[in-house]
Amino acid sequence: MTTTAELTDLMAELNTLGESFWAGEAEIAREFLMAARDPKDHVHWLLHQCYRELRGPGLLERPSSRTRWIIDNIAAGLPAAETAEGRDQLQYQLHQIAEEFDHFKLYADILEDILGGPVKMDDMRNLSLPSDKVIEALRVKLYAEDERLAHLAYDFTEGGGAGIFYAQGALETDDPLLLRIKVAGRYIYDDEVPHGQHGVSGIGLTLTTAEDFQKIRAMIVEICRERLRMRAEMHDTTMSEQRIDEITAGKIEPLKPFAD
Amino acid sequence: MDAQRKSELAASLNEMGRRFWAGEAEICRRFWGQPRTSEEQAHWLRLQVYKEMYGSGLVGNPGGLIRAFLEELHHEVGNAETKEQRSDFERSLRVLREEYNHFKLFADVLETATGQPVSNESLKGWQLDEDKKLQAIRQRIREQEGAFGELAIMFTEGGGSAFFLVGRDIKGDPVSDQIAQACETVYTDELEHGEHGALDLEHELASEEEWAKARDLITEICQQRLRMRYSMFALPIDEARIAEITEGKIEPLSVA
Repeated sequence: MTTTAELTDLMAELNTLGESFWAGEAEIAREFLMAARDPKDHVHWLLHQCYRELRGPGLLERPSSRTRWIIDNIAAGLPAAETAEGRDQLQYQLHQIAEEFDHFKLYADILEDILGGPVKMDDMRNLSLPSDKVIEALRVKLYAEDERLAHLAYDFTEGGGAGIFYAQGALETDDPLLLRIKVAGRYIYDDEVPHGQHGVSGIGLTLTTAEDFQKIRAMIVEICRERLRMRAEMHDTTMSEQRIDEITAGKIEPLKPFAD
Repeated sequence: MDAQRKSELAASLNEMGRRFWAGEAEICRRFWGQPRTSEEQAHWLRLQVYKEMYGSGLVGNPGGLIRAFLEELHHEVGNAETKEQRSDFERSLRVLREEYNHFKLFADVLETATGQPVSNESLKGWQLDEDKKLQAIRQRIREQEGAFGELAIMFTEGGGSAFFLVGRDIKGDPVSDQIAQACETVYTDELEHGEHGALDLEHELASEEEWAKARDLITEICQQRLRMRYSMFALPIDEARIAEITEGKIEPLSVA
């Protein structure tokens, strides 16, 4: 039987692990943004981030998304609207969709100015990085291993602790384009951080044994290592396996909270 | 038509509107001026919940306001490719959330008042005859007058928030407190709709004839809105008082 004190320690260990990976994602974005760049160099990551902001909630078609849930609910005559709990759920889903669209809009407006034209949905619809396919395959594998723990692990790792948004929001620059990216990043970071905390509290409330903690720890490590590769690819770079190992071992400074 | 004349006509129309809104407030105060049972509150709450879900004030979709927005948004996201289109989509999402929230607030109060879930099947039957007539008037105006009629409908949308203005002050029991909180939230949102309606008219109407016609259409809608309010609170419809209000025998409602 695992004691409460032991569970608290295990939870703290998971949080520390997460903080290292979030800092790792921030490191990738920071290194990309700090290098001298032509505006066109930002098109690739901006386009991919726009795609993610739309696809996440299902505004670009995705099964089991918030948008799909709402559309299916409408088709069934809005059964969710019949109870207080269902109405809360509908309101929450609408809020999340609006928030994700806001984030998409922030980046798409920047992208439109770089491109000098519209941000075409057709250019995003089938956008996918090779690392996205690896992440998807990993998701299938982990859910097959243990659906409950995989669900908690993905909740915990969703958004990568908003690390890339942190890096954008923390930029010190007077470049007009980077300043716009900084504003967008900070706005999204402030929206996203409470989501991450939700994932953390989900694990804290659900897991009761050290064995479960070890299993979920292994899942989180696997997911986050792939996320680092995906973030690097998104920013037209790679991260060495050695650096990924170092980050996994905690050899990275955690992100400091914004002062304001 | 010169700008000064346009300004005079707009001011006159706004004042007329505020007299009708005062009429709605008068009916609300008459109902809430004494303690009401949960069942008495449930009577108007049922219509309010119906109106929030199926009201046709803003769009004419028979499937209901919220549903219409949801369907439109799903279709429109594919077109959000420019800054302007994204801003439009963002605005529509905001309106959708606002309208859904209004429905939710009153559905939650109704559930408190009756102790029963808000069944969608029952909800369809909660529209009162006077509200059906109001809906029919709007629909006729929409069909006969097109965009011009839409402007008149927009002007009357929400009745100057008079209902919510009065409702936010009621208190004395848990249901009343919950109603007051719901009205407080809706009040600000709805007031903004009304202001847009007035501004749109000032921009769009160009001749004395158009202003006169707009005035007639708005009067017709507002008179029926008063009948709907009487009916909503299960009060007898006072046609004599409606005539007085139409003649301006009431102080205009002060709005923020």
